[in-house]
Amino acid sequence: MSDGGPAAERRDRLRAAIARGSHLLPAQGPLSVFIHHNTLHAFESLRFADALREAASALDVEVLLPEAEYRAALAAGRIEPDDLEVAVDSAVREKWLPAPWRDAALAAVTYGLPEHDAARVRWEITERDALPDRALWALCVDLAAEHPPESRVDAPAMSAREALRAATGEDPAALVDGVVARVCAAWLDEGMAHWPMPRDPAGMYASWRALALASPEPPDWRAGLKALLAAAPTAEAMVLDVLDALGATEAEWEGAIQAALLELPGWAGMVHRLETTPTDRAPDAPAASTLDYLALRLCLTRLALTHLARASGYRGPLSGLRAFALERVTDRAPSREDLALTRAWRLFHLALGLGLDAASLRATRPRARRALVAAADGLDGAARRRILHDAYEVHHRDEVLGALRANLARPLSLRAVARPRLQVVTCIDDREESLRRHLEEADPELETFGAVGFFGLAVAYRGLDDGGHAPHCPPALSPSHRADERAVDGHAASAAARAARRRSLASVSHALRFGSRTLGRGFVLAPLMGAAALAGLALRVLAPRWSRRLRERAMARLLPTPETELRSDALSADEAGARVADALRAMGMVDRFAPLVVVLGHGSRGVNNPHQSAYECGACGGRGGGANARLFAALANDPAVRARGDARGAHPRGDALRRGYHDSADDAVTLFDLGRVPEAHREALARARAAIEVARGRTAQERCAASSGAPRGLGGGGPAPRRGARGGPERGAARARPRHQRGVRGGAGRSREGCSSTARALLVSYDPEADVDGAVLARSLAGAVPVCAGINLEYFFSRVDNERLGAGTKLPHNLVSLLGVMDGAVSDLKTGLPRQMVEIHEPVRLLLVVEARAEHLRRALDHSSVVRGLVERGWVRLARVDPASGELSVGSAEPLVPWSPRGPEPPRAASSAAWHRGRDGFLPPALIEVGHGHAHP
Amino acid sequence: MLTPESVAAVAAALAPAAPLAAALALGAWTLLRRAPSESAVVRAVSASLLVSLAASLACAAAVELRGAPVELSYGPWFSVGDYAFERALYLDRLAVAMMTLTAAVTALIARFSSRYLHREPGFARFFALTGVFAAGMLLLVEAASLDLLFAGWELVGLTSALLVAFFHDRSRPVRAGLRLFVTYRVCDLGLLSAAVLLHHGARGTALARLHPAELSPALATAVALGLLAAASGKSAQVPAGAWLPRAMEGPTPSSALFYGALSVHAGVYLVLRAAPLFQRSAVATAALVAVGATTTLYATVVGRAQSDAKGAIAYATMTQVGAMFVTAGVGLTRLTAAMLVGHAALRCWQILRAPSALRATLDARAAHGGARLAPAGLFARRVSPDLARAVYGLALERFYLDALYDRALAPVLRLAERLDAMERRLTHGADAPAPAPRDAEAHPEPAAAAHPGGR
Repeated sequence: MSDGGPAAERRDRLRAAIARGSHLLPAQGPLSVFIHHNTLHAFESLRFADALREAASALDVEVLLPEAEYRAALAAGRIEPDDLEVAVDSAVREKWLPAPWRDAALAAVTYGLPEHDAARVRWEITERDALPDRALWALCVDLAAEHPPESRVDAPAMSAREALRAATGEDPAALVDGVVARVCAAWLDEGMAHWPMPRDPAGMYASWRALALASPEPPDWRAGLKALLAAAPTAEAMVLDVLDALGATEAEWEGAIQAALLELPGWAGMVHRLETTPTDRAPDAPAASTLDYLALRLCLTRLALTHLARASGYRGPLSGLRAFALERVTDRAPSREDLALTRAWRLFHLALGLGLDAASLRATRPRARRALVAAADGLDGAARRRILHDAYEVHHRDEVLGALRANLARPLSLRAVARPRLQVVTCIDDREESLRRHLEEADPELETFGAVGFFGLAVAYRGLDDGGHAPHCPPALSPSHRADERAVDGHAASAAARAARRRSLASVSHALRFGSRTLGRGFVLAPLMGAAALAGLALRVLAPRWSRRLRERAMARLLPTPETELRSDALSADEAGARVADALRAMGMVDRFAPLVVVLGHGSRGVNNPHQSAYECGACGGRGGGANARLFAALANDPAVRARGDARGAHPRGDALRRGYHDSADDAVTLFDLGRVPEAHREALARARAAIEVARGRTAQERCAASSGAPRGLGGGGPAPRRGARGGPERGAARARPRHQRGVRGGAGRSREGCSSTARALLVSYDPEADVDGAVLARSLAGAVPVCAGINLEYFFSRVDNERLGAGTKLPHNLVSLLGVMDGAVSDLKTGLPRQMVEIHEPVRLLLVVEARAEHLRRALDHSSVVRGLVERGWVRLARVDPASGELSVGSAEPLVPWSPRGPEPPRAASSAAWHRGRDGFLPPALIEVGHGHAHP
Repeated sequence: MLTPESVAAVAAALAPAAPLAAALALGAWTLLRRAPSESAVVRAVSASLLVSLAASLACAAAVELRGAPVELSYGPWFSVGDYAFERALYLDRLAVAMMTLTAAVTALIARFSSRYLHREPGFARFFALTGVFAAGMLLLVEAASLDLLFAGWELVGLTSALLVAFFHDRSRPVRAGLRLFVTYRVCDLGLLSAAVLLHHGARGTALARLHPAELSPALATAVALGLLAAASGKSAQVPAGAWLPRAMEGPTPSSALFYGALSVHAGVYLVLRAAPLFQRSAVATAALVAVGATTTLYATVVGRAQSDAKGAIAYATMTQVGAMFVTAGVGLTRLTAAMLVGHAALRCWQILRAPSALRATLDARAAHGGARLAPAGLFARRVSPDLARAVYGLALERFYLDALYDRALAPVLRLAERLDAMERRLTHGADAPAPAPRDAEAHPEPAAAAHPGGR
């Protein structure tokens, strides 16, 4: 490629600068395969607290909740005063807070410090008479003047764009953004537009250039576009031209490129992601290239800067624009007096918070006074929020660990099922946790297990109705085998009929959808389709469940449903046996198999929701988990596979596994292949169905209660669970619900069933006694922790800055190019989770609670550098339960420090439903008295 | 005694009064106390819309029973000297059909929104504006005189702009709302001047009572052109129509209600109401057809290049509304009315389900074995690549309509800026503060992001 010439070397350096400059872009792929991942993944090599600080400044985002929310949590008892003390003490211990500031910090986070500018301070004093202690105020003014601020951080150097914006109020990026978004949307379009962009094989820049050169010169700020394009036949030439015109030296390239990319992080990130991960799309999709994007963006930026420079009277070269604009920036730093006033004001409030008056402040030693002044300066919003957030997390941790410990103190007979009659295996998903808890409460002889929901089977799956194979495994793995759903013998004809009819239906609806948008066909179609649309609208809005049932029945009549089976031809019996046995052993299922074992996949069947994939099973690559459950059950029931598995020592008896599917949109649970259940197990089956019916109702109800405004109906003694269950189907069917799932994520993970959880728990089953050398734990953590941390951190950051790290409210979302959503007519591509998914989420880092021996845990952390990194750098909080003693320890690195409970005993309740009755929002964990003792929120 | 007229007199007044009363009560409550609970808001507005629906159906029944249009007078509105502006409603089949459609669609959208907007800050505001809109639209539809129609027309325009700017903590929706509002105001000058001309030339603005044959052709032309200006503003016709795709900034249900279903068709309704006037003037008819035809061609070309769900539907709407201007212009009023109703329902439905386009496309593709379904366009395959590029390039840029406006407006803006500077000098003396810099889109105030506005 490189011919060694200086020009070629320069191009190589440019490519390297682009690679480095695109490091901070969001990594979200197309919405059709939404994978939860750490939003700040680019910062994962830093410690959590440092990463937050870096991200806040590099991306201009919020990384913690606003202080007011923490203060509200403080008022509501979600943070307690001694949590604050713990947090402040640990800040001192970690040395980011100077020890002499301890008391000041405690007062500052308890009462807050005003962030008022000088004008506001004067107004407070003169108009609101807000000086309870004038002597103290006078002293504070003196003290602030006596001790000048210790160091001033200079504002970072402004780019030409920022300087121009500060000087004129006009932002060149605002001109450029709309055009860039439109061109990217047209180029990347996956089938939204009626008329695709005429494409040049050389890529987006070449295609756009050809378009622009073929059309007339734009009559707006883009005057001169054609000349620029004509001079730069390739994207590289354009980028280099603009960088030179802006006067950027090679050392400044990376910064300039990064700034240009981060002006529209969503679009730039999508281009970058598609370039680096082409498997996200069909192979014939148009190529994406960050270089092309940059050429487009920089070319337009150059025109916008030129235009705005002209408008403000500057005619020189662009490289001099920055200096020109900087001279005209009027918004200078506050004056010395104003600064002194605001500092005194903060000091005054800090003194008030500490309960000091003028006399006692005067009596303190000079060194302490100096520390106080420094603390008033240093305890800015970021520092206070960091402490408050720590307290918020400490409270959560101690509540969960307290409940765990109290539960562990109870006799084993209350916590475990001695002789299970029925076992249910679900995904570790938090929505499944709720179902599991209710299942166990509903039937004391029912035992549940949690496993990462692909059940150890990383396959590329193609269902009967699918167009191709799709990976059903966590994103870090790649499928090792293919699995196909095929019609069984004798049903081939009906399968063919089904496929043919689906094809025709799809063709018709495609033709109607696009045809109704055109002139001629639309003229004929619009009035005709209008009548149907009005009827459809009325039906869907007024009777969503009925309309869905009607639709389902019509489809069932129209489309034959052949009987099918799963085939995975390449998976040998040996391998299948090994995988099944491994998966079972990881959960601690080595003996004591119940006569009937249900493997439950989960997914979500929402409608009208571009983010639907985010609600499906994350462990199955954002797809429904039903296929994996089915394959697992089929393999485990296969005599040939079982024979191999038996050799490894773990396998349920006979044909004992049944698959099921939990639709978390309406909490419907369907079991399959029940016809083959032997007569002897009919009773177990009947009990299973009864328990599932009760549990799914209670689950639906509990999740509704977690967000107010949903049907509750818990007050009276009536058939409450039914109402909860009814609340569900509407959620799936109604187009009108932007909130499809009530579940909340984050919170605690844990290692072994039979202890405690919260509604926010992701539960992985593991039996420390069965794991002799810790290998099972190592595998289990390596598989589950990255997935759980990705989910947790995505929710965390989408919650704390929903506008910039999340997708904002869903209401104005506008699906674009079938890749993502914009806000309204045109905007940046919105990445992360929409507000309706995260608004009832408590942003706390994952609390990983592992019940295992210390050396096994150490070995597991050594086994996976990813897990070790997450734990040691504080992206995941770790706690260990000792299986022998039940003692708890916490920390981010070896050795963990012993943990002992603080505060009152955890509350007790008769059942989960009783604990939830009449309350909504988050509840602290409680010990459940009946059954086999589950603590829960 | 219950006569069709007496029933209609009550029902026709009740239809706009009920949602207006609900909205005013809601507004007053929110202003004086605090935003009521979501269920109270929904109940108040939905109940009032159901009253409107029932009243509309009663009006329809009255018109059918009577077999002829019903004219209702509620006495003089106000009078200047001996000249009285009367308060009169006029119900014919077209009016009652539109009333029923308006009340039904608004009620359905309100029901839809009660879930869609759950927990959204601004929930009460949205419903209050929906109520005001319903009142305005119903008044517009049943007004006998242009004066009363103008009142309804303005209520529709105002709520439209306020809902586009619903997310007022971001600058883009606010700018889009402002632009829409200005476009409306400019175009509404046409409606206002038409009313003034009719008052002078015909001693009244009741369109049904007008005998176009008695008007001078010049007056008829002037009035019809004024109405055309107003109609093309509201119905997003070229050259005023560039606001429509930008108006998709509000919540999806309000976009569906205004720019799918009702508001965008108000211009067509006005043209249908004034059909006799247009027939009197060949110039106005030609202008009507020209505007409609230009729009429909413009929008269908531009719409084909749109790769966002709401933008594509916006241009599809413009296309067919333009076609309705043409059919109305060539005298096919019944066909136009039928198209209006059907089209309104279809676009409303399509905007509401715009978010499901992803799933629909994936399903269709799966049914075809993973293959992409061929795009439906024929144009690109028939012409030379260079021409296709040129047309596509222009379509992607929407033929620079916005930029051309800005050019046309530039002198006005310069004048306004000069006047502004002069005023500052006069009022503040020498130390006049510079105008505040306009906040850029990418950097909303942190406080605004952290504390979304209250109700």
